[in-house]
Amino acid sequence: MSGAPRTHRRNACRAGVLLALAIVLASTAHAQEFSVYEWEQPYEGWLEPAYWTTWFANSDRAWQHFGDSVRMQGAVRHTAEVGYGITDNLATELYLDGETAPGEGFHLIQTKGVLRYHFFQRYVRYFNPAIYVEYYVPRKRYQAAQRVEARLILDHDFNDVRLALNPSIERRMSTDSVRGGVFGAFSGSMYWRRHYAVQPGVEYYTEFEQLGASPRAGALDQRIFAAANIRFAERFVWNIGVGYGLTNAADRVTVKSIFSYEFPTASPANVRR
Amino acid sequence: MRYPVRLPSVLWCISVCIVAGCVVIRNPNFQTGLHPTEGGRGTAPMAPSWTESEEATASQLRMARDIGMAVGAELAWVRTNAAVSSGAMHAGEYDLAYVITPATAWYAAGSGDLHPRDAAAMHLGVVVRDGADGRTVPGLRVRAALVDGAGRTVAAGALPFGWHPILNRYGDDWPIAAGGPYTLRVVIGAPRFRRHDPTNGDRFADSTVAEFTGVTIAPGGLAALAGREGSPEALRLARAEGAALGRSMYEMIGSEAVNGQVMRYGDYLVIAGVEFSEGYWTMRGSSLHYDVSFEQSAARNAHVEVAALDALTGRFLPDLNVRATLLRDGREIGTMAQPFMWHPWLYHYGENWRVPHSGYYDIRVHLDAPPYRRYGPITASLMTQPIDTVFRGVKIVTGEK
Repeated sequence: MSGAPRTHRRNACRAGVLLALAIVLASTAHAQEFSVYEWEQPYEGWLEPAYWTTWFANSDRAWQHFGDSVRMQGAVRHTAEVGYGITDNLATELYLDGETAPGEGFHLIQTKGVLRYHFFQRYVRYFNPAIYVEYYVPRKRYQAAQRVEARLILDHDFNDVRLALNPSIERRMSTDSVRGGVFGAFSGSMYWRRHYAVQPGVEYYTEFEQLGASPRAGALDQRIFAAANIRFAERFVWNIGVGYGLTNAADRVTVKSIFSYEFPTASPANVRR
Repeated sequence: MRYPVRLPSVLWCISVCIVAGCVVIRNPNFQTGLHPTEGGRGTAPMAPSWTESEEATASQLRMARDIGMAVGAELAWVRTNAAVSSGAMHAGEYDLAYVITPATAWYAAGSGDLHPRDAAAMHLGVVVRDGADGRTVPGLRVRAALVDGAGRTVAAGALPFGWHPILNRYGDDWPIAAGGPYTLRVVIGAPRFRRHDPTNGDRFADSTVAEFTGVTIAPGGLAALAGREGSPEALRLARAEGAALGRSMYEMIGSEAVNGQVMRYGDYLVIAGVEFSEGYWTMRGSSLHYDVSFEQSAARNAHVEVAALDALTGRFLPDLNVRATLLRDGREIGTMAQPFMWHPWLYHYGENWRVPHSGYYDIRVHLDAPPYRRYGPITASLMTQPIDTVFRGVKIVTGEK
């Protein structure tokens, strides 16, 4: 007699855990950066400020926003980024992330620090390799764990088309409400670079669940972006794209914009003076 | 769980970094005026960049320094054996030296007509070497003035580049101004040529002034030194510079470039090589600007480079009018001027090209004769004619550095 309620409670607990896990996965997917990195990075003494905007135009997913479960649709993520070339091979980047949830104001949610290092000179290897390490520090009230991500950057030119691949792994720290672990992700892009001013391309993003798990492909966050790099006034680069979710785990439509400016603040000669 | 890093700490660190940057990065124009130097006074000395970079490895930089050391040996020989007066100093980003030597016969640009030696003239030469590696810096506008103790200008004028049997330099024949002491004022304008290398190419952006004080010219000393620059020892030292340059050249076509070829053609040794399209520094107004666009798209996807050496000594020939034509299967892809390009270890003439795809191409190179004087009697047959030569089957692989 009393077994049935216990079973119900157990099932309810399981469902709660699964829901919490789904929310966590949703929130990490939301934190995803929609940019595929290439081997290039700021030269020594070059400063590259950028402003990222990601608009989740059509989505039926939800995520945790300062303890509340809110719908993704209509949310906008803003990121201010500053990249700086320490040497020609080593660069650092700092990010400040903010979010505007539907019906709410802007909130700063986290900051991130990045180190990038690229190996060799371009074309010395078939794939031009670089590594990218990123550390996420969220606000305590924002429901997300600190994370560290390591990304391998590989790119190769097929005449006018550049293929870039970014496999990555991410270590998420455990908190009271979030389960930690090591997760994998992969992104790749192909851009047609024939012309300087406009370079169209496609980008693909997917996130795996915890390493070792073998989820169905349909349960993975997979999306594809039609994107373009637009360059103007010599130093301005505008990367825009519209992403379409390929699975139910992804937002249906995402619009991204990354507006950056690259300039040599401290030229090598000035540094020497 | 307690986070190892907190957001306020990160923001605080960012603020500290910004403030520290404002303190550390100094105003580039804070050093102005002339400063005392070992040879008089001049623009405050500053060593140009000489570090490993996207464009140069440590061993390649050492090759450039070997060339500079060979030039240094030539300078030392001329100062000791052929100059009636000389001096040296570090000024701006250059190692500067002047040498006053006997006037010699010379051949005008593109001509085999010999201008006889003017016995009433002396040759004022200014050697401008890179302050980091010691190589002669070509493509400069150099002016000089000789001022006596009363402040009167005895002689003044531009010093064009000249080819010499030893120690190529900027100079001209001036009337002999025996006596002294004089002050020799040298002004070097910021060169307009392009510079490769995002790190090391940021150099020579400012004008440089040097004033050599206490310049004396012993009367009668010039005649005793006449003809020494044409000696076998002088030629050996010039060839040592050429040999050092040859090592850089073979490093380029053997290791760095996608492909390259060397060809002897008359009085010239010509090298044609192909690299990936790459950026360079250019002068815009009075400041240098790094044009990175060639690395950001495939609009230009190959870098064709040409170097010309005199076949007698193997030294680099600057200031040439160079054009290259690309051909594939006998069909002309295009013709482009190849302007001079400063490079951290191999000066060359080069331009970024758009080619349809990777493959084998012919490169037709046209060189005009050097637009400057060649001094000394041993140049009788040297470099009087333009040349056209074709490098066949040069492999081009498209890409951007």
